[in-house]
Amino acid sequence: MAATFVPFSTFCDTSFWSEVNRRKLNDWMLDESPKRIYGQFSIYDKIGSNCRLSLSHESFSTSKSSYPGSFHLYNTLDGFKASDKAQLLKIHSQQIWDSIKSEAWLENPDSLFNFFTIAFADLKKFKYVYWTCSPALCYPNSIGQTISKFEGNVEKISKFDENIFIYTAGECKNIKELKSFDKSDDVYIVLADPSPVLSSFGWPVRNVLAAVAITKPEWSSANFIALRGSQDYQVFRYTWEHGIAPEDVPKSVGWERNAQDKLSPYSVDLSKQFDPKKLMEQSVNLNLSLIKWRLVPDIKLERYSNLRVLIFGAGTLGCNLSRGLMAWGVKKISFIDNSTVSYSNPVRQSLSEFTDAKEGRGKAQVAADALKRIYPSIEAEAYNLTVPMPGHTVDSSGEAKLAEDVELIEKLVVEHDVLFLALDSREARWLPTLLANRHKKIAISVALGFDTYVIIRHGIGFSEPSNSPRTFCVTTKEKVPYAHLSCYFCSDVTAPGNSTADRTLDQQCTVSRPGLSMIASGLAVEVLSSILQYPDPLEAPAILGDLEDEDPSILGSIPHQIRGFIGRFQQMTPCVKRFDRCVACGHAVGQQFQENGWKFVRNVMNSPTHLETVTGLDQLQHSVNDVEIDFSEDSD
Amino acid sequence: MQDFPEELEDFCGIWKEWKIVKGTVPLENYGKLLKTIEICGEIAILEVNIVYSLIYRVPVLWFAISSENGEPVENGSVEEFLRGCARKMGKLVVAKYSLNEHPVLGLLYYNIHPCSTNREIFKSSSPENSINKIAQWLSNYGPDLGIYIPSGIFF
Repeated sequence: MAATFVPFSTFCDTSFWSEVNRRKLNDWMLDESPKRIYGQFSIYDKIGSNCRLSLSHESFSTSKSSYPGSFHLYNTLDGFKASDKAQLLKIHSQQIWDSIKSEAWLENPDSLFNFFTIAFADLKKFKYVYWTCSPALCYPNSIGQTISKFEGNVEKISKFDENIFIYTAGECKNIKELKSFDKSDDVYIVLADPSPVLSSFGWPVRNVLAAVAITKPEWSSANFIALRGSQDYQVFRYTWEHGIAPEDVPKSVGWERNAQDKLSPYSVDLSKQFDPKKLMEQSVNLNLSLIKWRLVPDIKLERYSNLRVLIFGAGTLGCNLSRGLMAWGVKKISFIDNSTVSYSNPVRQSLSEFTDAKEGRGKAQVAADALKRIYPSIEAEAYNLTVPMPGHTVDSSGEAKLAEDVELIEKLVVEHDVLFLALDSREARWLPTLLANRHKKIAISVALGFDTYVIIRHGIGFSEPSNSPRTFCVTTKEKVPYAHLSCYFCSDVTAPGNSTADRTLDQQCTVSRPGLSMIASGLAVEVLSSILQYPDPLEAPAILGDLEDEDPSILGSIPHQIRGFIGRFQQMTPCVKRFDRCVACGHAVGQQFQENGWKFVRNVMNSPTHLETVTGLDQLQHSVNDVEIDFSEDSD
Repeated sequence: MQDFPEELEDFCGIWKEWKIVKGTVPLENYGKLLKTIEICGEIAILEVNIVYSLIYRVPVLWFAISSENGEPVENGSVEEFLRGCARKMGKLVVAKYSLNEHPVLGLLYYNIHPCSTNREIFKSSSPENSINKIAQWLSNYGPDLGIYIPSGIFF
């Protein structure tokens, strides 16, 4: 039957291109002259339909089981495209032909495997195009093959450490000895065969066949042993049409086909390997994937990577929250803050430094910039603005600005999926709470006392008008729907029933034990991570009573609140139902904002009868009931 | 295991599918194997390196999987490949691996974490125990990557 040969396919590993990058930049620069390389082959492959010719970083120095070749790196893609492929093939085929005609190949059989690779390397984008040609002379004509099992001394052959040699009468000899044989049937030519296909020899045999046909013009057949890793050696007996050797180089072929079986260059994008930004992205993603593969197979990681988070406050809590979110794979984080970094901040705020304080830079901007330095793939935004606060009066000259700010904050709330409320004053959380409810966003409050902390996930949406009284946290196993949970303001009016130690946590404001911020931020991030794994995160219920009994999320329980007391290193997870007349999430407030928008905000800011403004702005809780009643009167 | 370079030389001399890649010092020499594999019907090239860890003082398996054009496959395909290898061994869990900088090449490769490596193999230096230490070690950890020592070449 007609002989078929398994063609080459070049495999350049990452280290090859890494070495090309290095040499191009440091040594070759604009030099386009061909460079010597050595392509490795393997006689062990059994899978695939090509012989693998491998190039790696060590291909620029000689090694065993390799063919010598040349590497032509063009300076431009146009140069690569314009190179005369037919001419290149002809030149290399001519060299092979000369080696055959002069019988130099018997001394130096490697000269038969004269491959060359042309390439272009885009060192900015780390994209490479390359094309390898392993010239094979189409000579002799009408080659036929029959395959049989090798019956001779396998041991001797496998121990003879050459790529090509002859085997005759039970002995292995150098290929040079071939000349001395008269009959082709007296000798086997043993050739290392990279072909993974049992029924076909690999590409290298073609030029050896041509060489044998020229060197032994009287022969019209030859026996080849395919030297493969399996040692199940096969004999390929080739026959061909006897003819007169041509003077000129015969037709030759050898440009590789790509994966689509077309004669065209390979291209490869290694930006993931060489672009440091993508390297980091890949490593971060793998680490997260390991959570999925190893520990929580059903985890939906895309719920973190697609999440847009808005953090009110870029202080110590905001900084630590963002770091936890970033580690979960959250890519979009925005900060709102109106203050600048002061000298006391950098030691506590994990994203600011001495120079930020020295230059008086804005906290939000400092935090966003730092995130991008830490992880360039992150999309971090900073908004330097003051959140309008109840009791902070505004006169008519400030109204335009107020309207603008309220509009911007509302727009930001709409554009994000999750809000963290980490501003240091109590009243600053009022408007964000209201807006979160208005747009049914997940909102999580984090607040610190001196040695206490609280994390609350606010109920979704405004409360429904209702006459039923508030329910306190008790030991029932009731599942409280997300929409029935209290917000930061509801839960402050009355303390949870099962703790006598609870008190308003932020009265001591920013003076807190330094480790607290990291603890509270870490917990808040993990509350969010659990919420997000609930089938519909906006429905994630909390359990009244013991958390251990049920695991609503694949990451475990999703507490409504976490309250910690570092003085005794204790923590509790109360669940509190919402207060339907709450100053921030009650339906009356929602209605007021719906009807009057920023003007309602202005009224709250200015109205001393609504909110006690005398002592300021952080005393909202004292007048909470009055405020609520007043609101009700307004809406009447 | 200070005799790593010698053991590696011996190992690659016997199992010729492995090649030695020279580093700048002998302890940086590493063994390299390229193998065509199939992941979910797709042809891919698996590169496995046996690299000596100066910290753990044991050999460590580093590996990379690329498609035929040399582009690394997605993390998911790597996991799929490792699962296949684990299944072949009758195990449910795949080896502990992560993505790190290759100690010699400086490129991003996967590695099997050496923390669970049994050090006993490397302690024995009695002359009667002449079996190559790397082969002994690889017979334990190679199957994580589908690498099985052909019977009869070491033991």
